[in-house]
Amino acid sequence: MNAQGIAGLKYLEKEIATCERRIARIKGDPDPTKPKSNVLLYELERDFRIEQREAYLSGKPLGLLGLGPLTRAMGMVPWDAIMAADRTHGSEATRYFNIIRKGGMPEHTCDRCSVLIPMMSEGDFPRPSYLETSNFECIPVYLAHLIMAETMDVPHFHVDRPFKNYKGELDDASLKFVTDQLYQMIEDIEAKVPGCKYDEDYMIELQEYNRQYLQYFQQLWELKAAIPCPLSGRESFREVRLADMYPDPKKAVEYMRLYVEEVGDKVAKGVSAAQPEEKLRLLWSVAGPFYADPFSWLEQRGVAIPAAEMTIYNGWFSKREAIWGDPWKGRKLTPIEEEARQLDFTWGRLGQPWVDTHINSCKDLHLDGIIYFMQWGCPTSNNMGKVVADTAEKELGIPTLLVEGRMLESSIFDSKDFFSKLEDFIAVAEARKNDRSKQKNS
Amino acid sequence: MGLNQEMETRLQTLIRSNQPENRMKWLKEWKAQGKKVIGLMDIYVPEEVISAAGILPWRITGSWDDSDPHAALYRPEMSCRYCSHVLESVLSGTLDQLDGFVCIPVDDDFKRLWDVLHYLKKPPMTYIMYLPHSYSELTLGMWNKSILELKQVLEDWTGKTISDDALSEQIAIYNRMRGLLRQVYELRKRPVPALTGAEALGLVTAARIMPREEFSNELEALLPYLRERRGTFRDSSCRVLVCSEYLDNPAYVQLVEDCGAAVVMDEFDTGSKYFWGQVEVGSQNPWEALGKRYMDRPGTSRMENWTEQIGQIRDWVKEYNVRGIVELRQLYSLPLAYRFLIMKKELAAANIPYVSLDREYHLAQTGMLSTRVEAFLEMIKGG
Repeated sequence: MNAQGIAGLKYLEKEIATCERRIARIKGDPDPTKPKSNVLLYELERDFRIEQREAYLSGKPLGLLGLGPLTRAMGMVPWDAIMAADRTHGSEATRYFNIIRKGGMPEHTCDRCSVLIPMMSEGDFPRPSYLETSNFECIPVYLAHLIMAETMDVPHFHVDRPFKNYKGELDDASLKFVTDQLYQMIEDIEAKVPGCKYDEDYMIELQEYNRQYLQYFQQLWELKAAIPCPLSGRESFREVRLADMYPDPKKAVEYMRLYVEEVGDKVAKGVSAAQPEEKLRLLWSVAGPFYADPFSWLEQRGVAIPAAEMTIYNGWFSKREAIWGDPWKGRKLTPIEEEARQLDFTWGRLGQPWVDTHINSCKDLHLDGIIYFMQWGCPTSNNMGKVVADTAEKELGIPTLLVEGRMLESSIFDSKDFFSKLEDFIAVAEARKNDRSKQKNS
Repeated sequence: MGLNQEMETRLQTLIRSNQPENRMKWLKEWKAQGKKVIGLMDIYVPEEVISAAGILPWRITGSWDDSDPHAALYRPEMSCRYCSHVLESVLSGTLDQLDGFVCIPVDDDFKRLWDVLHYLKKPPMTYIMYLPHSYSELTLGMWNKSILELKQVLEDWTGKTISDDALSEQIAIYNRMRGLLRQVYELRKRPVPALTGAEALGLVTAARIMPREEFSNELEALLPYLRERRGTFRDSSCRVLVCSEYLDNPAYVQLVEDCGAAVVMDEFDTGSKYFWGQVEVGSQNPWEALGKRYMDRPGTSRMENWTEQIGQIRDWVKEYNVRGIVELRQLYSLPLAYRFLIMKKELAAANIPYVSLDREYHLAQTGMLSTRVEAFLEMIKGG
């Protein structure tokens, strides 16, 4: 059956075709020095979209429960519309924004949460069978999922997290509170979604894959500290999809193993992403105008972006945040406790951990400045920009560029203004770097 | 001066308490007695606990000026405007007399505003307490724990123990205030309500900055007069309910009434949602009874029970004989912008006319708003 054009599948069909094209292009390249890991990545992505398509057509439930393996352990295929919305930049995002504006829908929230609504209401992405709403990440994502559930009559359960860094503070009461809610949600799903039953053995297996997968990211973090940095900014900015998201998590782990190996080879050879040579290393924070590819622009001017700062990822990579399987007060958590622990994202906490993660990333990776993208509609990060900038200046003596914009909707983007700000900032950061070198040498 | 004239003067004085020229009066008087004042922003901080510690809980109204130059350094334009105007008031020194600030992270804007104030150490004492976004036995337990943590913080700060009796006493004081406000709102059900919507907003915002007993005494004295009073409306037959959040400038409600509506009910955190629901008295544990009151109500749009919130609005439409709903959602504040989608669907299904319009926190774009409101009123009058 050709599913092209069936409501709910437009996005999936497009993504499957894109992945196929990319796989064919890489496989068709005779250059033996080109990285091979990308083939695995695109195959993983393709197979995930195929799985979602088959689930939708066969009536298998799609859902989103937190961020980890619980979705699959309950017998659902992961529903990732918010991450999918990230890939609609350019004219497609503008089309969605026009629908939003016409319908009086919220357009002042972050782009991914705005786009999600018309993407679903237009039937471009499959309807989920169950949703968890939660404040573990940020309020826009919580509200976006809540409105999806309410307007599309999707059964949902709200899991509330305390705002403290309970993971870092090893706060038993908060962990128990979130764990108990997850058990209630499991009961609710089993009652409401036919065919769903919690499979703990599968959960443990998936958690182990996530652990192995993130351990490779931890190795990658150390490689990112290398000067020059071989990773392109686009690679640094690629949002993490955990191994459990893919239908073949073992293959996801293998992809990361191969990718880290390839990056290691490049580090050993002194390969630099920045051209003609690396003169500056910056942290890119929050989001970016993806339609304008600022990363390539920076690399052409000798600026490397070894890391991006968002949600909790750099905490996992730098081993400052526990990953799946790490001990909790010297003991191993139960599988559901482990999921509860992971529902403690930096973005859902108070601001200090968000400031700290910037400072730590800059220290770990020897960075010379921060480009802090003030993504419209992201109160979580926007309102901490100046505090991050002031702290980076005070503690590390490095400058921060606070620059506003939208990550997907390009119709209001002023390219000249944006890139002239980057140009000016490079000059400032370079001068400051030279000053620091002089001070160090004197 | 006749009795009615005197009562009208007293009523207007009370209603105008939160106007910029008056609102610091109560704070200063309290401070002059050597007592502390804590600033609050939302309706979830259990004020009874603060009062039981001998502290005045004082709802912060942001600057009503049209610019926020100091706050703009920390908060981009597209952020909750109430939070930005509160930060402006803090940074410009208007709120220097506040001793403390207790915040509930109802959303990320509030959370980050607290982060900035905590970073700047303005005011000297800042505390943030947990509030769940959903209501169940489990979340209620965590909320009760959060209230006890607030108690501990206040005890440590003031050096005084907050006894169960002190709390119970405050619960009685607040229940009385809430009961009186509820009586006033009952008078809005009449064909010609006793107060305009703008006056009602002035009254509730006054309650939140005055010592509650003093407010209640004055309101109780005014009640007999209010029972006889008829509010002044251009057209009292066009009865509307206004929804908004962090709306503390009565001029916005006046704008709706000047367009030819009688605002007979509100869904404001600065209005009905502040005082709806009482704390059960006679409970063995007043702390738990207090916690239940704060959760056991439809809540604000930050809470996940949108269906119940809309159900409450539908009930009010019937009880207050409302012909249409005007929503004045604050620019860049996300929860109402999202809830709008389900409101539109649910209210259309119930055949309740509804319009949702963006507004600034300070009074702005009044011409555009008036045009939209007038068009809506014409539509419901025609219907």
